[in-house]
Formats: sequence, structure tokens, C-alpha cells
Amino acid sequence: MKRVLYFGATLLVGLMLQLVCVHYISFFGASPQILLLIVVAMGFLRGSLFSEIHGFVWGFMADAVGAGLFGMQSLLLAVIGYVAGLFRRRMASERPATQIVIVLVATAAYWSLGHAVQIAFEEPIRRPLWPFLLVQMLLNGCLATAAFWSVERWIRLWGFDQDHG
Amino acid sequence: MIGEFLHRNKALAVLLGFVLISLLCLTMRVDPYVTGIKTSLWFLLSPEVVHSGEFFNRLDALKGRVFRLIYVEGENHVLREQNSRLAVGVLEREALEAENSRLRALLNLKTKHFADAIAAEVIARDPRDWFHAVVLNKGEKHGVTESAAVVAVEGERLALVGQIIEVHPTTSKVLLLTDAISAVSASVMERGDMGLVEGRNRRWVFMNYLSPTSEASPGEEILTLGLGGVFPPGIPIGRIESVSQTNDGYFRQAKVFPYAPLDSMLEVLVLKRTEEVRLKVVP
Repeated sequence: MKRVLYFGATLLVGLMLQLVCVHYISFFGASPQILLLIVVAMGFLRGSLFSEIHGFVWGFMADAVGAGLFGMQSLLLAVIGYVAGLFRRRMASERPATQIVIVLVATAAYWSLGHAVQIAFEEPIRRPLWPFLLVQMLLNGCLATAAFWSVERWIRLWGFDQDHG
Repeated sequence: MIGEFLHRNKALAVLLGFVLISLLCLTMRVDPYVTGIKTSLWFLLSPEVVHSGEFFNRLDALKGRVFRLIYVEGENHVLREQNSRLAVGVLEREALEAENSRLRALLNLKTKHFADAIAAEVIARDPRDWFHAVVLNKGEKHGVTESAAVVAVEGERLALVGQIIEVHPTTSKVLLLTDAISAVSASVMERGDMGLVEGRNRRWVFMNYLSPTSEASPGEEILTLGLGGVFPPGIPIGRIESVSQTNDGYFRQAKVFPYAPLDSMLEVLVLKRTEEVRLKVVP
């Protein structure tokens, strides 16, 4: 029951935070990708399984709400969550500098993979890549440390501080 | 073997499952089942999305209203201060306009009839009774003499005030015509009936010793007669309020309301006590 409550609350709060960011924080059309940040943070803090499950469900929700390819966000966030979990014990993710670098790399990987999927499924590229990517990386990087800190506090609050794969 | 591998690598197995589902959705995105799943998810999530959008819009509107309130409050504060200053300015201007008007009337009067008269301001009143005496800001140094007549302007009309009873170097005291010891020889205008206007320490005065056959009636004007050389003849004193017979029956008596605003006048003219002073009687 607690697990169900946790998942429900986490998924809704995550989606709400993303909506808030889209509404209030926007530069040149780019907004911080809160869901990506949380999934990456979860991967480094709690492992691949934990983060990929969250990533997949959030991705599905984002696909249902958005206007892009249905299934793309769920694929991207699940993969990135899994990969983030693989690097869990290999990097000093408690350091802010490391967290920022992780987020920047994850953002670049997310966009690269996303464009690859779009090309693969013959979807037109919606925005010019480089300027938008730079702004996106900057916004995500600014929130990296806050995301890691918040995720850790949230998981501890619910008592899910065990390893998952 | 694959199963054992996947069992030991749970995360990878789950990922493969997620990837498969996502790829299926991507490849079959126009399939009715896939669109149905998307539609169902949208219906589940739309309340949160729609309500959050409405919430953000209301929050933006509220934020706008709050900022506008703060701005308006600040503007209100500034406007209140300006309003207070302007109100004070308006009052000052009105007072100056009234003073200007009075002084112009006084100057006009002085120029027309009393070129040698001394303009003076009322600076104090007898605190014991509002109608007995007033103090002027002109005295011996300015040419004021004892027993000189004092007049004021009411509207565009001349009006008798009283007589100088005390003179000091820079101030002088005026005994008002309403004082009980004040007495002025007077006549009813146009009729010529003569009498003596005496004060009663009240707001009005009485014209006594009117002939028993006098036909003076309410509304008629009383003017100074000029006997005694103190008050020039023809200065308006007031208007008859009522006429009655005295108790002994020998004379008639008229109750007269003075023209001069004895309780509120601020400027007066002190006439030079000369025999040449004669006023042109102008009704």
C-alpha cells in the first residue's frame, strides 16, 4: 500500500513540477526537463530498476499529454534511467560538479537519442538542434544539484532507501 | 540460460520489456489499440493537466492583481499626499481670495470717499463679550486719533462700526456701536426722522427717541446724522427690524440690525476726525 501511494504521489508530483517549469521557466522555447533530471538522479541514487520504472511511466504520461510520437518519451526516459543506474557506483555523484556533468551528458544523450528516434520514424525535426540544445543543457545544469538533493530527500521521506539493481 | 541471465539482471529484463512496449507504440502509433491507450491515458491525466493550467492562469491573474494592488496602493498614497497638499492650497487660496476681495472693497471705498482714512486690521476682540470692543493694528504713529469714526465694508456697502476710545502708539481700541455706552445720532433714510442709536450689548441696536408720529417702518435704512462731529453724516448703520412704542408712550423705538459684520470683520477704515469729512450719501 505504501509503495502504491509512493508511486502515485511521485508520478503526480513529478508531472506537476514539469508543468510548472514549462509554464513559468522558459527561455527561447526551452524549459528545464524536470522528469529527466529526476530519472537521472534516481538512477545514480537508487539504481537502474528504480529509475527505469519511473522513467517509463513518466515517459508514457508525457507522451499521452504531449503531441509528439507516442512511445518516444517512455523509451528515452527508460533507457536513460537504466544507463544512469549502471554508473551508480562508478562516479562520485554526491559532488555538485559531478552532478552537473552527469546532467549535461544525460541531456545531450536524451536529445541525440530523441532525434535518432524521430529520424527513424520519419518524424520532422521540430527545432534547430544546437541553439536549443545549449539552452536546454544550461537550464538542466542549473537545476542539477537541486534535483539530486530533492530526490534523495523524497526517497528517504518514503523510506525507499534500499538498492534496486 | 537466457532466463537465468535475465533473472540475475532484473533491471535489464525490465528495460527490454519497456523498450519493446515503446517500440510497439512507436511502430503502431496509428493502430486503434495504441490510439485507444493514448486516449485513455489522456482522459486519466487531463484533469490534472487542465486544472493545473487553470490554476496557473488564476495564479498569474492573482499575481497580476497583487502587483496592481501594490502599485495602486503606492499611487494611492502619493495621490493622498498630493490631495492633502492641494486641499491646503485650495483653502489658502480661498482665504487669500476673500481677503483680496475685502481689501479691494476697502481700497475702493477709501479711494472714493475717504482718501485720508487709515486702513487697519482687527487683531483682537474683547474676550468678555464678542460685540463690545475690538483692537486694531494701527495707533498714534499711524495717525489714529481718539473719538475717530470707524467704518467697514459689507459687500459693496459702507457700514458704521464704532468709535476709537483708546489710542496707543501702534494699536487702538474701537468701541463698537452695539456696546451699551455707544450712542450715535441717526436718521431714517429718505424720511428724515431723527433719533439716537444706542447699543444694548447684543447683536442689534435700538434707535430711540423717535417722534411718536414717526412712520418709520421695518426695512427702512438708518444713517448717521453727523451731529457732534464724530461720525460723518450719511454713513449707513443698519436696517429697521421692528418699530414699537416705548412704555411711557412718549416716543417710538426701532430695533435695528447693524450692517457691519461686527463678529467677523477683519479690516476697517479709521476716518480722520475733521470737519471736512462729508460722505456722499449713496443709497
